[in-house]
Amino acid sequence: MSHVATVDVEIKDLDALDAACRRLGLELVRGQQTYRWYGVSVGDYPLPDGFTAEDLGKCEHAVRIPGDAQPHGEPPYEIGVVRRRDGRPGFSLMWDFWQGGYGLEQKVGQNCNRLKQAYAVEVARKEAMRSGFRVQEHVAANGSIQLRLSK
Amino acid sequence: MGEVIVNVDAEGEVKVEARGVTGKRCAALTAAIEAAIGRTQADQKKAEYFKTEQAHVRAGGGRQS
Repeated sequence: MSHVATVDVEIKDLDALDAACRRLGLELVRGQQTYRWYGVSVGDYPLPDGFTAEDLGKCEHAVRIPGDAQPHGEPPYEIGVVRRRDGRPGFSLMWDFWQGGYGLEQKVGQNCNRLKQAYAVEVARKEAMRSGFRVQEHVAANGSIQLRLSK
Repeated sequence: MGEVIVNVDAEGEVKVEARGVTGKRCAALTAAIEAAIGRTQADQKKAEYFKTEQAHVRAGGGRQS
């Protein structure tokens, strides 16, 4: 039997998120309860299920660019890591991409895709090693990352 | 023993593929990896899966007749 499964990434493992952040030169700050953003909701984009404008800027953990550099003239925005409120396990990532988050989007990719990619790789690697697999990683020219797991 | 290929593209889309494994071991091999990554939204069985199932049916029928 052979099959191919398509899997939606859900952030459930903070250790794997921490490793993903380090992979991208970011820092997960556990317990940080606010994240830097524009500061005022203009209501131009829908919020995740269960969240209101009053929740913006509040979080349980945060992802930040380390250091005090301001290459875009303002401190880079941060990502809030907030427990999901739609009945699913794990965390939502909340961020403000106004002005590219003053450098944040360059690091995490559009829609946080690079961070989600790094998280998926790290959490798959962790589970594979826990299950006794050997792991080989290959980064393709198109930016995709392949893990080959074998025993 | 088969292998598992996890491919994560630059948009964060994840595909988990089992290769060279037959029977229930295939799902067991990938289930923990899929669950750790997130929620499986599609599970596409490859041609080998159906060939294997048909072969089992034919073999079973032959023994009973």
